[in-house]
Amino acid sequence: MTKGMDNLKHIVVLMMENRSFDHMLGALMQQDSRINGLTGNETNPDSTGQAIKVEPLAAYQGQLDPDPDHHFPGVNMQLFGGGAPTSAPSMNGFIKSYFEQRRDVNHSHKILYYFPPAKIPILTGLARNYALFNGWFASIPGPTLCNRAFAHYGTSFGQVGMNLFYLNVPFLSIYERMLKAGRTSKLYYFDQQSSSLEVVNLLKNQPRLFGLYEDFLSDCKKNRLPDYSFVEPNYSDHEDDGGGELLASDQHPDHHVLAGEAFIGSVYNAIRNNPNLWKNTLLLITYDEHGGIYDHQAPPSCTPDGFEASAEATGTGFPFKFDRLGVRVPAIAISPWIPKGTVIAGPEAAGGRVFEHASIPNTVMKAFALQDDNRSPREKAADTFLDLLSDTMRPDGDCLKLK
Amino acid sequence: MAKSANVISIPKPPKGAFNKHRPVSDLLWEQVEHLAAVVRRQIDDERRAIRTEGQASDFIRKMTAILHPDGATKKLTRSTQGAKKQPRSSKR
Repeated sequence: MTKGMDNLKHIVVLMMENRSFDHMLGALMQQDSRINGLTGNETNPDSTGQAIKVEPLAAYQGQLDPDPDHHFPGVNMQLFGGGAPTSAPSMNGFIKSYFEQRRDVNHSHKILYYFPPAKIPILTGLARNYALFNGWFASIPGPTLCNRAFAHYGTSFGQVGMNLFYLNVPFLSIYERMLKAGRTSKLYYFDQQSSSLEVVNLLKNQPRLFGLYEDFLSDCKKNRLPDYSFVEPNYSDHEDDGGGELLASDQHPDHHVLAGEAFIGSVYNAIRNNPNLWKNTLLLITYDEHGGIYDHQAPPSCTPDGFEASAEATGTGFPFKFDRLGVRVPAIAISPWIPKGTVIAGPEAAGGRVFEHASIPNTVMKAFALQDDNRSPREKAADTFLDLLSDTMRPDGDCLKLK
Repeated sequence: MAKSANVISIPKPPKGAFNKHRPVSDLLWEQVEHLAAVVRRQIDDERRAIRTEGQASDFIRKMTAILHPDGATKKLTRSTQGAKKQPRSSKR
């Protein structure tokens, strides 16, 4: 047990939407060769058979419209190029998949675009200042809701799509487990017009588990942050009660990426600017899934979670045993107890580590010594990240400030 | 200089980024469906639990407020309270 682990009192998770690792952070490899990003020579064939290179041309908005396919069959195409999902993913079907959305050859190439670090200074700045995971993957090669379920329950109960009617499920959510153990936990959603994704069953049955984003800010300020918090960004452009414009901050295409940067900065500052909180809080920023956008790293296999989706449910002609992960997404762990510039090797390296969204409830269980054994095999097998907290707390001046 | 290298300014999106007329995404549509289903279930649960006149009137108020939000914000006035007393005086 390190001093950083000893001091830990709060874990906060911010889960953004639909961006791949390479799209957001792949260019960082030019700054640090330990980061498993892009060389600039990665290619995918387009629908004419031409090999198209990745390019640092990602735009904040207006580029990924229509929304790239990220349902199970679409991701299957992206991973296996249209072949059967029986061998290692080739990662060469991204352009072909996006071509199907608009049948425009030139437009389909944009799925390989990535951001230069200077265009998204908050995410890349945090990645360089704290711990960047080379091997954090979506839990399922599929869409938002089944992936988010792994963060809440450690499984999606056999779902590979957007169906979320989790009734009479065998495992409690991590929030309910926390309450059962006498701990505190809260899901903060942005506002009532944005609301919460997928856990509205909990909203009905356990309203005390929920708060608004303004409550999160206030709880941070007043030292009332629960032991474990999950923060949801704003999922839609809408007006507030006074008619003010509120931009979606989830970074889901085609929402403006800088609105997400500002939101990430706001969550970070809420913790960073309270010295009582900063010294004992671990913040994880990640994305639910890749949103159909290119990543070069083939997802590895994983411990099955005991469920199976039928060939009909997957829409691919093949059943799915939840025995391999989805596409890699950005993930950054933040704490003054994490050495600057930490890079956690992933499957690209011998002995590298693999994380996924089931790592979240498993880490929370470990951090707060919860004993509930009634959990999915997948969650129990998921790697945890408390060990990133070292024995040394960095001086305040060494830790990134956002203004 | 070393200190300033450790400070990053949070960028702001341009004003023109706001577009509430953007077509609804699959994600938001699923959220709409899911919320609607849960609320339908909740309404059904509450309806089935009604046993008394008080519970019925609470439920009726809630449903009426959905259909007529303006009515929900108005309080009882002296005249409506007076109207309630009317049947008692007519018994005299």
